[in-house]
Amino acid sequence: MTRRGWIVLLLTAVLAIGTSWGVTRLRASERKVAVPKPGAAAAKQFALREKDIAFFVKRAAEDTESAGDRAELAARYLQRARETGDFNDVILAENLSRKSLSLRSAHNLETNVILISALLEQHRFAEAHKLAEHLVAEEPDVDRYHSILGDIDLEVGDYAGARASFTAVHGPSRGGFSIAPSYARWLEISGDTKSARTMLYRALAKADSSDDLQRETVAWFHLRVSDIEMRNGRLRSAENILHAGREILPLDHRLLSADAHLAALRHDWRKTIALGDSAIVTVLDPGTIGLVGDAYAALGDTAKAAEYNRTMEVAVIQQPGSYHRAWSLFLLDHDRRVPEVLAKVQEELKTRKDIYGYDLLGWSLYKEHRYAEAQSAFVKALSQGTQDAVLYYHAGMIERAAGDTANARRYLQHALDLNPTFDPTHPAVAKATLDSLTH
Amino acid sequence: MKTWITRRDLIVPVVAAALVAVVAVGKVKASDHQQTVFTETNPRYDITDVFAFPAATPGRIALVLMTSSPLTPALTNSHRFADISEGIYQIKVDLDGDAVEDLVFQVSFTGPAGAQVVSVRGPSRPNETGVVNTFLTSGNLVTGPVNTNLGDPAGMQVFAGPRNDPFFIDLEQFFRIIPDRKPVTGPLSQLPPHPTASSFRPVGQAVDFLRGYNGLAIVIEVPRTALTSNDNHRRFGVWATVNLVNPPANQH
Repeated sequence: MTRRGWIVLLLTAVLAIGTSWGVTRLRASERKVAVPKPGAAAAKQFALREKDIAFFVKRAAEDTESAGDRAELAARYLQRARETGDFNDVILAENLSRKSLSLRSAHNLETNVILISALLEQHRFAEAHKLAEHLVAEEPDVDRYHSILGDIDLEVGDYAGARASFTAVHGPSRGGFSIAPSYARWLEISGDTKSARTMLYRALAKADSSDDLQRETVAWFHLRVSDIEMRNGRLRSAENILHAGREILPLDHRLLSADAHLAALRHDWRKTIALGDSAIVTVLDPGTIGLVGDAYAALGDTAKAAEYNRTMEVAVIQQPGSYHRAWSLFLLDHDRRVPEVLAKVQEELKTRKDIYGYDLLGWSLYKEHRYAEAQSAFVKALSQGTQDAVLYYHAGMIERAAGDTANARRYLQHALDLNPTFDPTHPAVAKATLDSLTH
Repeated sequence: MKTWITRRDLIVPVVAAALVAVVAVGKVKASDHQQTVFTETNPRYDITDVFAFPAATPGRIALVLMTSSPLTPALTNSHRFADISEGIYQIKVDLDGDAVEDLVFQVSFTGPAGAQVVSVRGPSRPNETGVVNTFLTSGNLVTGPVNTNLGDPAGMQVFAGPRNDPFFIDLEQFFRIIPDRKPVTGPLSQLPPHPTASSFRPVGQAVDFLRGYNGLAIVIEVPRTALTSNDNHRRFGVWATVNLVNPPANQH
């Protein structure tokens, strides 16, 4: 989840198109496109979560000096934030975990993990990094703390730090629930997608067979594995895993949004709209709003597409601080607000120098026709050997614009080899560009 | 057919929540738990307390084994007892004061979380005494779903499921008194001790950390005569164990 504070501000815009959304959903239903229904088990889990929150609210009120109850409550708010996208719950989690730590610093190290999660949800990487360093210093034998630090290193682009952190994780711990997703991400960024995939599948199997994990957590593992499958062109596997995840949490907005994206990759635009609208009902994610807008455009409904795209744009610009990477790419791909995106990226790169930041910088510069600078940015974007088709597509298009046809051909072909369905529309552009370069 | 189940050495101190129970007046000698990484991270194997006391019905005795505390209201439904494929719970009874079990109750569970079936066999002479035991295959048996009162009111009755943890501790204050208490999950001994309190909060201010928390309870009620050898020797000892099919290595 990313910053959601803008969601409240967005409500006005949403209300303006509320009527047409209602019509859209009705039409989707009429077309018999599969739309989710609330599962009894999921509803029960949500009800239990609320019961838990009430339980710890009461306990915290009963003992004004209880650090433990405030930490437990913070963890529940964070869980609810992940499920509902409610940014206010992230703030509550941050405040409660800080209060817990102020009440008891000793024997309360785990509360730092909750605080770190709340900070990461707000993209406050520097503060989170400092706390993670504190955890590692206090408990150097706890593998999970090294993994947390490594994860933040990846976020801020400190790849040497990430390597040191993940190397410190002992072998047997690497496949554990709390470490495997981060470790796999490091492997992916390092270019070892195959090992990352293997690790994630093993973790997913463990999660599926565990009856101790929260359903939200199990669903998240499905989301994570489907994501790596989609990004590597394995759409059928991604579909199976997503659908299994939706059996667990039918209304999970992240799974619905991912399923909508999968439908878009297959150019099943009506399904994209139905699933995307279902996801937006829970969380007004600009990326999903934009995806639905594109689906309408593909169906020729330009009025509806414009409506959604305007809403998406409003959503993004209301967001304080740096833009979410996916939303920024969406704006760039639609040639909208390019100078603003560029300025935001340049600002963010002062503290967050990761490969996807440089990818965004290079793509922004490309859109501004500043090709030499874009090439320089891509030296850094590709520096870790990450086998991501989108990165190579961007690199190829930049090289072509800069006049380096050899590199353009190499990168574009590599993008298509990695994943011929890396985007609903860009693979066709890559192929056409390759053809033009060949002839 | 006998199936061998191995008992982990580490379980000995963990489950030695022994009671010297007299039929008329119960007396708890000691209680401790979470003494290894394994039991701390697998609370269903972590016996927190064993209780024995006269039951509400005259002439009957209640034995209670508590594990897995604390469970919140939400977690209660997702947590479960160990499946029979993982291990079983045993309540052992010494009738003659030699600290060797003379009778045993074996408690096993099957089925998925939230719909487990409990089976209690006993009290029976054990197939063998000590740390390595085998399943009883004959003798008194009560079986049925968890969270249900099972059995015969005149014979053995059984309940297994979440119940409020009866233990009392002002844990927050305890941490302020002894902030460097060392859990088993990491070298917290490296933390400098900074006590901010020197005694527990007084009555009226002290807060029970376990209020509202559930533990997984196994409750067995039997006629007094089932546990006392004769009227001249009404004292018996009780302790409980968790016996695992595949115990983890190097856990002490």
